[in-house]
Amino acid sequence: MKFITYLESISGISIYPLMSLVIFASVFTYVLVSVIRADRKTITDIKRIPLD
Amino acid sequence: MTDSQLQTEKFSYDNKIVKWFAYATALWGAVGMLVGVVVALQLVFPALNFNLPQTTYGRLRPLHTNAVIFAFVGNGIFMGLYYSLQRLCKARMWSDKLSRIHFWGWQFIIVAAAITLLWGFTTGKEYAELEWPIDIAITLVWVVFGINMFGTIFTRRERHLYVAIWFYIATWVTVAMLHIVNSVELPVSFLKSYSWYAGVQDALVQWWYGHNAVAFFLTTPYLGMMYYFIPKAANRPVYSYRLSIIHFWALIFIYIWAGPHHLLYTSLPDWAQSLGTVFSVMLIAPSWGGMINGLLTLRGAWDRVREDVVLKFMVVAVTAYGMATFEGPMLSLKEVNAISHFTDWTIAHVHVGALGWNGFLTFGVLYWLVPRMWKTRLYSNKLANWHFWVGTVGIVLYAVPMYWAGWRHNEMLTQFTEDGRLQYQFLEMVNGMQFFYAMRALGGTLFLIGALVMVYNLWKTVKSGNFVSDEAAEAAPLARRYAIEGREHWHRWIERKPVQMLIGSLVLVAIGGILELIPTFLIKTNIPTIASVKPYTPLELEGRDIYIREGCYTCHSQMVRPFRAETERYGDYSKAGEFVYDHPFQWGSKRTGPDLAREGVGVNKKGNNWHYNHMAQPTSTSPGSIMPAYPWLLSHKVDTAMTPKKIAAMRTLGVPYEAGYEKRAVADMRAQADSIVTDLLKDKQQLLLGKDGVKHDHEIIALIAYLQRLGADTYVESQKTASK
Repeated sequence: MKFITYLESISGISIYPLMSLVIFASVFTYVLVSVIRADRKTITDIKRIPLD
Repeated sequence: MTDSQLQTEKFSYDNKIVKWFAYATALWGAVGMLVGVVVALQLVFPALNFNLPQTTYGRLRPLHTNAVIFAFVGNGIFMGLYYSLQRLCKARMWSDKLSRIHFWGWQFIIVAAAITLLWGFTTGKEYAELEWPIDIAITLVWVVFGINMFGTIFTRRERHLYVAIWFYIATWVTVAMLHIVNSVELPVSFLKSYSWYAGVQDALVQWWYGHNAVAFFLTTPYLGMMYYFIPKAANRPVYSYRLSIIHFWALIFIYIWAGPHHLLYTSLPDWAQSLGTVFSVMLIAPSWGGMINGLLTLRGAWDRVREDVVLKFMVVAVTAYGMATFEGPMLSLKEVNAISHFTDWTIAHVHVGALGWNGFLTFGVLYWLVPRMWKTRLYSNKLANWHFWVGTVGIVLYAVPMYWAGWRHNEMLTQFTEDGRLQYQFLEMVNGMQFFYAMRALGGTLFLIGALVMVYNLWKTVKSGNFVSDEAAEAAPLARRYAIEGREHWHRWIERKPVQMLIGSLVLVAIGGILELIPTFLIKTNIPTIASVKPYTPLELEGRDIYIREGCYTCHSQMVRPFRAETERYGDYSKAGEFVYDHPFQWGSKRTGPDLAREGVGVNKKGNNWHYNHMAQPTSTSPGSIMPAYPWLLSHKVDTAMTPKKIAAMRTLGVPYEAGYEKRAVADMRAQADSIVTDLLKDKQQLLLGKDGVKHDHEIIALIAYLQRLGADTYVESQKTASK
């Protein structure tokens, strides 16, 4: 018997890849929006930290 | 009161600890690369194995990988981190004593690793070979390093945590998690243990660890260094700080999922393989985001790259990072992986990363750091440039033949004749590799020569300068209360909060780990215990331990993939249920020799005397073989005092040996060994006997028992099914 058969016997196994995608998409979108909205002056100050 | 209104404080940066780590980086780099050249040459000239246990390929190869990863790159990380963290935090390392404990503890671990690996003490899990006492030492030293790092961060004089520090924090917490989870093992004696996990679970945990060792040991700390040292060397800020934020979060989140791409077409569940592939492909986005950010930092300064050897090394390093992280996702596609896996293509891939990214970035940082800490100029720019070119040529000469070899390996082993038979014997393919292996050794030698020239150049620089042990600095302390100016987005908040950054990173990497590992562990209750798959006999178990000790997995896989070319060559494809008693799993990752999963049955079945002679002198049975000889197995004796303990340990791990079996184990072992000896002696004049003749307690007998067992359980089953 194919191994996948046994895996399928775990209830709700398909939720795992789905969950991973949803979590990633949410975190990524949140970070992206926050970063785009970040204050320009602050960003400019911060990026100079190694040089100061 | 705001930060800037406070009176400045005088303090100093600890350069001494950076100096020590820099010396260790150079020393272990040379050693690790030298061992690499030796193992490369052993594949061309097997005589270089010297017929000694400590100098055989199977023991030297793990020494090479561990030395380069944990000794060279490890010390490189600490060198870059201890220098940059102090400056980015405007604070001296929290504790000089902890810095020293960290340094000497890490060097002690490296020496202990070198000795134990050469003497055959290994867990048999790639890149995690070190035995349990050393694993504990690594954990303790890592905790010391963490306390010192966070102590420094907590006592900083710069409110904002620069992006390099996020990478350092994520590195620390993720490496801790990976190391602890993958190193859960049951000790049998002071330097022998068995992995807690078996078969498929062990493989998944191992490659979750193995892939993320690449991610969080070879990549994230070096990205942290990239974000600090490239702006410093170019004297301009990073191209896009916004991009670095996205780069960081997306990279650490996605990387952790990608491990299963090392197990495509194996017995790992399909869904886990697919998950690994999807996230590996997605990984290209943050990886290239980081690479672009690094390279574009040099926009407007490209003319300086022509002049400045430090920038040259850094540009090639980041470019190599881009190449390796483009190739990685491609190799995760099943169709491509079918070709690259088990061949030298993978070796080429990792060396573009190791030599190009890690090697060149380390060299660039060393060339930048040493003149600064010794307040002098680099002894010879000419030599450094020469190092750059010879190193670059070395990488090309290494990688190109290995790519070619990978393709050729696959092409030869998948070809059929017109009447449907395999066209080439495995050995014909091996013999076809010799030119490529020789070229690879040449490339590696050039790279090593370059590194030695660097050591000379830096040594002369050190000699001509005056080392500043405590570099004076001045900065205002942080106010107790922080007045936020204007609107603040959430990331500004977390950028000030190291603990929250630590927790955030841990949560993100843990999500990937948990969602990937848990279902595979749940299967344990449902696992298809194939009725005919039985625990190893005591003699086979001892033989398996010898197989692990000699590092056979560095050249032989035990995983037949479901391809016609493989099932024709080796036998039925491997099933998850076959490995349930394998602590640790021994699927391997490279086929310099053939797969051994069905060595004891079917088309691969050989007599005991064949195995005996093959181990004594491989070319006696396989002319043209490049396998080392193992003459000591013909005289060394199995330590039977350990056998009952091993049986008991296996039972603790869930292997169903009946209660009290350990009392009979040695007698059973003797009976099985006697039958093999009797069989061998039937043909005594054909045997390449050692000086002690052939005896039941010789290690070779146990190894033969194990090799003859491989594939036997399920072969019986399939024969029965066929006869019904």
